[in-house]
Amino acid sequence: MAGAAVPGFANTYLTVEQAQQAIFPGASFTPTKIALTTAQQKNIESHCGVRVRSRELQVWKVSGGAWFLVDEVLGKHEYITYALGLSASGAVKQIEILDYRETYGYEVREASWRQQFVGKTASAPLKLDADIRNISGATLSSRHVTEGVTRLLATYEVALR
Amino acid sequence: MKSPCDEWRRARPLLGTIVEITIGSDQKPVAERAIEHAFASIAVIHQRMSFHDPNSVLSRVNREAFVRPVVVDEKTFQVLTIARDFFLLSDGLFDPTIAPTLQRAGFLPASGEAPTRSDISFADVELLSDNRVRFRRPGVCLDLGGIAKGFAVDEAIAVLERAGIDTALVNAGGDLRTSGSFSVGIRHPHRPGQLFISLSVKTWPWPLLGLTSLLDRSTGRMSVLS
Repeated sequence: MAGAAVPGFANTYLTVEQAQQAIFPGASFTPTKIALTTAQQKNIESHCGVRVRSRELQVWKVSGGAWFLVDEVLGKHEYITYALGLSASGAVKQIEILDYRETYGYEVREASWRQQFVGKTASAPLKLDADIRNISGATLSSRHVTEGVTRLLATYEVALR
Repeated sequence: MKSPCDEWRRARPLLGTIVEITIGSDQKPVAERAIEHAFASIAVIHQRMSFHDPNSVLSRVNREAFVRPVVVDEKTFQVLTIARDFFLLSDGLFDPTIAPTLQRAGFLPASGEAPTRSDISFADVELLSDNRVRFRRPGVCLDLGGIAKGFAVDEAIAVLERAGIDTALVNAGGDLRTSGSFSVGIRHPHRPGQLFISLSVKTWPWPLLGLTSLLDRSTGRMSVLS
């Protein structure tokens, strides 16, 4: 069966502006330039146990006191951009995925995924253990996004409140 | 003649996967409201049946149902009933008490429960009147992930249909269902940048997975079907 190539696979659900209006309809947004200090970074990491990969925050203050943040995480094979709306008291209001796009060097990673099966024969069936990285892309993406939200909640406590 | 329809697509992390909802509608406020309600119905399932959340109904059942029968909500009880039906129909091959085995293998986080005996099965789960659940033995640990996703997708489609949306696709990480007619592209299992096949799907529940696997409890081996 012939396969059609889909080069540079990417998918956009919402732009930043659309996500702002989706989470806080009718509000106005003030971009807030915040770069975390090393001390703040360490504080956030020890607070929530998730690594901070970038000290530059994408934050908007929302009219009425709420917060709108944009962040990026790595899924199984793609970068995922998502938006987080926090209420004025720092509680999660809504999460929206903005887009995802395939990472460069996908094929290298794919080859290493297949390597785990090399040498396995019918007489040595696959064992149910951590050697087999059987986690689906969507499961991993979801886990990394929710870890990102955990990190952003700690970031709110340390740097925004 | 039907007026041209806009497509609205949104995705959120729920049920331990990415849930994507796509609908056809030519009215923005109707579309947005319908999508919001659909995600809300899925969030309810997530809150009630999350294995990872210690505050979910499922977690409470796993902690307490050996000590005394636990009253659960209607939807959780429905999912448990479906689970029992699948358990019986599959001669025990489908068994949501598989959680401890998955925990040992690293697919699920450890929950602090006592290590389980390998002879525990869904036969040790009693579904009583008035939506009550009881475990017959200690060490029973339920994971409803397999069924809860499909159930949540059904709920979301029902919400969308009630909102008057007649073209919809709800995809919970491979468990997908459509309302109306949709063209679904399936990626090549080993080359996800490549289109494998395009299917025209009409109002049909499709559990579509790149790799489907069943755990054979007697041997501890996974059968891989693709």
